Amino acid sequence: MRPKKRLGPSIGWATLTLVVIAASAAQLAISDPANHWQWTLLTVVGYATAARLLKWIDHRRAWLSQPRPHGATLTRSATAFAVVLVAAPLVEGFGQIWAAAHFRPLEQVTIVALMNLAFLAAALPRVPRCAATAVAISFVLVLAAVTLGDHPFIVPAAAAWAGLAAGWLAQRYWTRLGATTSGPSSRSLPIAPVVVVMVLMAGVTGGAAGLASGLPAVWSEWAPSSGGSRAANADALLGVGTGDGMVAGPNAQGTGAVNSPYFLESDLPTLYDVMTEAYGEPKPPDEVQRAIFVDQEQLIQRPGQPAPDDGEAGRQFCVYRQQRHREHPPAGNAATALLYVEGRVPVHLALAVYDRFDGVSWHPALSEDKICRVDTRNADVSWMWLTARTDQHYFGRPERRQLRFGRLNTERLPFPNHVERFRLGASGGDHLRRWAVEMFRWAQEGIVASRRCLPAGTYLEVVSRPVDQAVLAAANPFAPPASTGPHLAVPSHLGPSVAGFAERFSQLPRGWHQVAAVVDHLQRHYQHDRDGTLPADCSDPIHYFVQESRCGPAYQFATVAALTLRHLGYPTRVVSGFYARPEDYSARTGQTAVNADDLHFWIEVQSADGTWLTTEVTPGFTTAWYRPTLLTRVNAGLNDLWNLLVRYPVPSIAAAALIFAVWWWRLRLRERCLTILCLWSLPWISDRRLVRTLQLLDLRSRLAGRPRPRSTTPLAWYGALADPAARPFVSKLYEVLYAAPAGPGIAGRPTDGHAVCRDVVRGLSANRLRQELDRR
Amino acid sequence: MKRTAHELQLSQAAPALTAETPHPRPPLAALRRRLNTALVGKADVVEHVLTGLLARGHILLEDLPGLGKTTLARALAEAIGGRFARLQCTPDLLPNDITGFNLFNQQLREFEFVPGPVFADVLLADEINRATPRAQSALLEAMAERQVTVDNERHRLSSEFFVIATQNPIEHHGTYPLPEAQLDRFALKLSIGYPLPDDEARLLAAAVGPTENETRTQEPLLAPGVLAQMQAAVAEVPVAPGLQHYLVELANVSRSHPQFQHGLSPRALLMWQRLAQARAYLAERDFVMPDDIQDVAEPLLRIHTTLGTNDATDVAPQILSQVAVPIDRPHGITDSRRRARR
Repeated sequence: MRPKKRLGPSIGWATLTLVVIAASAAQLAISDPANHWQWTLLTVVGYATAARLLKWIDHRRAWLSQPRPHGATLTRSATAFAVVLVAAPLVEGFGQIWAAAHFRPLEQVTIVALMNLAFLAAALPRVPRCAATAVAISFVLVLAAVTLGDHPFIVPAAAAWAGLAAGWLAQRYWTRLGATTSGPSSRSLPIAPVVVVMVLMAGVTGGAAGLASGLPAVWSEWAPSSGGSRAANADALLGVGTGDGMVAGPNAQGTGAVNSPYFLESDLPTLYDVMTEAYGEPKPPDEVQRAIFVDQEQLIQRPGQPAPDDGEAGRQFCVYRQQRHREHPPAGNAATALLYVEGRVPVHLALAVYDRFDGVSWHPALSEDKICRVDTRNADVSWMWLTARTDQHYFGRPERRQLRFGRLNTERLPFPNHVERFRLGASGGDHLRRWAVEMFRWAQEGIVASRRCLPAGTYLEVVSRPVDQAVLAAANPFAPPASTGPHLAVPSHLGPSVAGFAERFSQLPRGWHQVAAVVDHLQRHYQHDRDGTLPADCSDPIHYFVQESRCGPAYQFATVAALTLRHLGYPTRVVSGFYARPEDYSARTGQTAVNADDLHFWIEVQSADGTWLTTEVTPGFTTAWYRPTLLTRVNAGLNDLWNLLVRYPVPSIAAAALIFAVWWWRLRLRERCLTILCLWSLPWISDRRLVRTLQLLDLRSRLAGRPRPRSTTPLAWYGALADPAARPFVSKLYEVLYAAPAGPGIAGRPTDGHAVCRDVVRGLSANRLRQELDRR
Repeated sequence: MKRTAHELQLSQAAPALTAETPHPRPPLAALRRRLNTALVGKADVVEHVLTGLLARGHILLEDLPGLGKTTLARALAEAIGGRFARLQCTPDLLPNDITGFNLFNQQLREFEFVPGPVFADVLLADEINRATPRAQSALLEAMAERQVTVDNERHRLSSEFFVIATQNPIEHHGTYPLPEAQLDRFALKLSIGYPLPDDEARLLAAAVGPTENETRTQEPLLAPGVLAQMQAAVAEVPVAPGLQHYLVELANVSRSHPQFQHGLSPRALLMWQRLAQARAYLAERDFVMPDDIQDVAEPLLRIHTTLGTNDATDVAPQILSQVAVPIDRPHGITDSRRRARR
């Protein structure tokens, strides 16, 4: 008996089951952990029921797939339906971002769109390609689930999917071979494909489990807002603020934080705690201890300068630290993050700015401590607009981020650079309200602080404008080197070592390329060592880092880069704060957790117009330059279009009408162009002209509503027309097309082809063709 | 694809499609006229029979009894002037009844070969599916290689050897369906069908008169050796490379088509090209057109399909509809290059 070649019902059920398993895993991976798994199951069952219903309807009405003698083909309704199913979650996700300002991770939207498409394809098993498409999409869904999720159901689901997919593949293979192999040998169990697919899936699953930091990195290249889990980051589990180091330190100065009211009132870590936790206790060398003391006295005398020993975040930072011994935390001792970031990462969140270095410590920039100047004229009263200039052309389009305060105890608002506006909310961003302007002050230049500490759970929504690196490099907004200035000072005893290091960059042309060369050199030739410290007997930290250790923590990189750039004449300062890593992104929550180990130091270089440009110098960290995402580009394009429409309404409407007219009459326009080409072709190019004329005739028959099928010969379609020009044309065309190997008598009469083409172009218009074809 | 009578006439006559004739044409019109007189109202069937004859492809006629199968075969044999043999296939037919056998001559004291009916120029194998597979397979070598082997001795057949086999589609008792290997030897599978009422009336009118006309043998139209010359000329009709690719794509489509057991074999593909060449030759044209390929598609594909005669009519349009007709300049040959070549 001859085997069936069409896909049987078992393939249809297997396809749907594969999609259900994959969708369940993917849904679990992206669903909110607060939801119960029953809701996920209910969603998937609903999908599967809808797919079966769709299949039943299609089987009775042939709405989506048209049965053919050898299989089935998709109808236009199916294509439109697929487009709607794919577009719906995208539109919904983008709409939420646009209208409700609620960030929705792009990969979640993509996975939902893929699930829709997979269920639609699984509902049409009569079309063999649909079944293959459904299984292929389900494979992508399983991979995404294994990569992104950590639900215990996911790995068993992936294994079940692998086994069933092996059987599905074997069944497809048998179906294809059914015509030729019908003997008993082909009826044996598909052991080989099952083993192959199981091994492949085991490799993928094992890779996902073992390389949790690698696969998310790969995924993050695909989706702009994605990242990974914190499965491999053990430091994230380290508790902060234990206080052991602070009270047990050899230096009595180090107990300042314990005496602060924040420490006594709350167990939440301050920035000082985080710094101590990250880099160890400050331990300045004995010989320079006196110098620090003198300097602190001078600082105290300045108005607005906070006391050096208080618990606030703006205190000095000593580059000499005590060696810190990290202890691996016990399993399950998970600490809540300090901050949660929703939005594009990486991002530098500045909390303290240092502008003066005495060879031992970086001293914070002077606090302005005045009322934050905000623009309240905007209609949306919940936003507070900062008056900092962000209108330079090297700024990219505004980016919106939401920061939720966790355990961090600080008055300062962790801002990305170049913030335009911000607003605060109590929870979820739904209850954002206008805060009193007097609530905020400038803690330092570019650092806004509230009058009191913000409670955990507070939402801070900021809109900033990142710098476009390409435009910046082209604009090169840097003034000629200045010799003096507040941000150009280099300690005198470090001058020779800084000059020696900066000498290799002095020959480069001044501008952003020179700055980038310094940064690139440090990132290429030096290594990041978070636990590295300066020895107590080291008098020249620059020389030690550049010549001896060649590795160190971020503040040493920032110190060397800042002093080098100052030596080269660029106003530079050091900034500390948090670096939100892409690796810490959680696809489930759509947030990037910021922990104590994300404390970081970087530099800012001032351009000629006074803008401080964030620059990352530590290897392994990247500057958050402006990177337009797809959504941003679409948004920008629509905004530009709208602006154009508003600014030039009449020409815009005219252009739109013209585009619509061209689209509406595209066939007729093409016909006109081809007509001109056919009539004006060079007479000796006979064969090309004949082919072009046939294209013109085909186009006219399309316009007439009687298109020639691709499989119908020109003789069968046009040869029987009553028009006297048709038959000679087809005859000449056939001679040119099919009598070429014979050779004789074709090229010798180029004018014949010219004449018949002209006759048929002039004689057989679209209307004439319609009449003739109808008459036939 | 079923062509209308008007299109058929256009592609046959088509004086404008002919280039300069390189050598004189044999009396094709007279040949057509003779066959159309014998089989009234079936010009397309006659055209296919002539196509198969010139392409050296054997023909399988499958239709009801009394529709003119034998008449057509006999008229063809008479028209081309060849030897005609008729083989009435029955279940007790033996291979030697077809190929011939060695008979001991008592006078000469040696075996002498008595040729069977396959040693004719036109062999009518009537109701071929009534012969046993053993007898059917005796025709395999004869049809494919134009030779038979009897007692390890090879005997060459006529170079113009041409088989017209008939089979009855409605009777299944006591019949043996032709195996694939046997079917692959045939080039075309034709169905004559009932004539139109007007043609049937003409047929009746022509049958009124003296009965000796029915048994009178007509003069052959072709001189000896002319048919071989025509077949050789058919093989030389050029085929554009684009059309050869077109044929290959059609064959590939047939190989994945559910209505075919195996699709077209390379031998069937070669035969398709030769049939298209014969079609062009019959139209007195010096090159093959895609219409020639499409004209013979239906009877050729009907050989290989698993469907019955009536259902198989739809197979050819399905196959043809999946491949676009090649309409492009042949391998980028421009006028200037062609002039340079000339």
